[in-house]
Amino acid sequence: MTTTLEAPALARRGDTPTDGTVEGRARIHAALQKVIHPARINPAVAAAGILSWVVFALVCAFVPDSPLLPERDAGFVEAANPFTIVAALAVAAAWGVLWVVAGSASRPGVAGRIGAWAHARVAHGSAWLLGSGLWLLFWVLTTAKSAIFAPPYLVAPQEILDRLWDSRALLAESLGNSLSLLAVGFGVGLVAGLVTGVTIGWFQTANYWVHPILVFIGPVPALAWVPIVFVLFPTSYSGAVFMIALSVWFPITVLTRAGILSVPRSYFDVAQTLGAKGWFLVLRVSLPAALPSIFTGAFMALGSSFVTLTVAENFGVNSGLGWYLNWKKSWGDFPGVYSGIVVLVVVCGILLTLLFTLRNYVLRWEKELTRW
Amino acid sequence: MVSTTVPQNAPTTPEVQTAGAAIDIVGATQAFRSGGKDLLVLDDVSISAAPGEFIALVGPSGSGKSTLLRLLAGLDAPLFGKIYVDGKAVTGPDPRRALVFQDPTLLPWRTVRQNVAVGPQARGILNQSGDRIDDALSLVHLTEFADAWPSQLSGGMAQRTALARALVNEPSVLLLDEPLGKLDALTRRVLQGELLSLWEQRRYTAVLVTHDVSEALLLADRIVVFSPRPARVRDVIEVGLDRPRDQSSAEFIRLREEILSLLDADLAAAASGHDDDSVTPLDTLTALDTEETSP
Repeated sequence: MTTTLEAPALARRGDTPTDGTVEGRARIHAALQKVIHPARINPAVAAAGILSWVVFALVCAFVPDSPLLPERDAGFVEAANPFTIVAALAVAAAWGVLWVVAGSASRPGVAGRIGAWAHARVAHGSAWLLGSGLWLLFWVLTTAKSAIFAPPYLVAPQEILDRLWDSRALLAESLGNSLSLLAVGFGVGLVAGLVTGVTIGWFQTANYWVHPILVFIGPVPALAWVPIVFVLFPTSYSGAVFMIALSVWFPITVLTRAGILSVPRSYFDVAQTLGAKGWFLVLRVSLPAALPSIFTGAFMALGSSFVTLTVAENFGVNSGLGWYLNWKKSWGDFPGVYSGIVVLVVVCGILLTLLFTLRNYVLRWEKELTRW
Repeated sequence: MVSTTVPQNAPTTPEVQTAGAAIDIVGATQAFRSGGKDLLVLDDVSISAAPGEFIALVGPSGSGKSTLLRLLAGLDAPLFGKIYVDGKAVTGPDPRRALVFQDPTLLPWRTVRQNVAVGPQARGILNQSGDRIDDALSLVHLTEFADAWPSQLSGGMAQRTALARALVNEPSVLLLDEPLGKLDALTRRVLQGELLSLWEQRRYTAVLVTHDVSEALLLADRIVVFSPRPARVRDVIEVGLDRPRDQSSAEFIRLREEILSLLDADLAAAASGHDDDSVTPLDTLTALDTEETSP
């Protein structure tokens, strides 16, 4: 910015790079890089972030556990402590490496691109590294090291890691069952919702009959149907699929219909004057135009499908993460419950991120901001 | 009431092969109901155009010119009267009658190229139409921007895309509904030239709705002047000037004054008679026009 303010009389022709030369292109690239990635790495924050994880590892290694811990919990902490230390040091080391790599951000070629990526990660993530490091310190100090927050309900981070490792086979099986049930239920609900939404958005008669039903049946929580569903359906699995599909169907239908009804009439006029009829108007004009709204519905549907999934697994299905949580609770194994929750948090987060990524790709025409 | 049937004059360039269709609008009457009131928009309008002719419809805004274009496109049916293209009654939209709107109305989820491809795709001939789509893009100088999204385009580029999208269907009638109305003066001037050269290459029958009298005089063979709503054909002006036309020539200025005075007289009458209509004030029309001729 300041260069433009320096006396323009001193600037000679030829100082300004042109894209006619390799060197000129590199200079333009570097200048753009600065404009596009203005994020700066705050060295103090980055260093403090790395330090906080190192300190956490040192506390785990050298501060003795509180004698107030019950024997079982002390055993859990003991078992996972070496891994915790190594993992925390690995995080700190990885961040340090990333920071070093970020230094090559201004170099040309592949190294520069990797450097720019690392630079953006470090500039953006260092505060989170520090925050999470401080949280872990607080957590381990108040639980394992002092028992201020005590078992059975509040547990140390090492205990959760221990249970995660210990129950890995059962957790993996539960996760697989949950995901397959979710996939089937979500898939059925999504297809049914899209078909219903497009049909009632497109055909007046269908809307006349279906919309009132939608308005009254839809908002009823899928779980309210539990007592009937598991009686009516031949297997508890199909009942659970139905309930998940129902909780997905409603938001998808409502927002698909709304999306299709709000498509500007001019799109249809244009398409028709270009020779479009029937299904082309439905599938290639209505549906794409309604996609932003449909994705909003999909986010709501994903949320409510998680709710329905974890509860439905406790009725008849007897497998999956929802069931795992209840089963662990019935044993009083609260570290185990937390480990199940950790898996759920990670899985839900990943699924939501995937949906966001898909949305950003499909709707990239909405976001692209470079203008000519 | 006033039904003006225009004699069919063939365009004056016999060596160019004509790809256009003949248009006959016979007694078209259209009305809408809005807010419980019946609103007469077109009152017994009859216009004919020879194949390959370029006609312009000028009149105050809200006078029903766009309504007439929608009838020609087949998007709406007239309450009374008939519309024939090449002797066949218009019953619905047809890709051979292309309509370019004031707003480009590109489909925002399709790239420029995909927007141009809508017509061929809708008609199921996308696979055979690659070259035609490329040709249409280069015709409007957008080859470089084929993969851009509509949201990235400037107004002029978007309108060019809309033109390419219409032309890729090789229409025999091109309906232009104030296609340059929302563009800046410089872009408008450039696109006026392009509209003219496209028409000279393709020789479709062109119907241009505009409120810019100079634009109509620059492009059209004949200019149909509408009265304020309900639209009637007020007069038909033959533009006998050679192209490219010189806006500062005496004849050009004389024709412009003639058309403007026709519009002025009608607006003045409308203003003094009944003031329920939202007609464009006089000075908007004249202001737009003087701005065009100044350089």
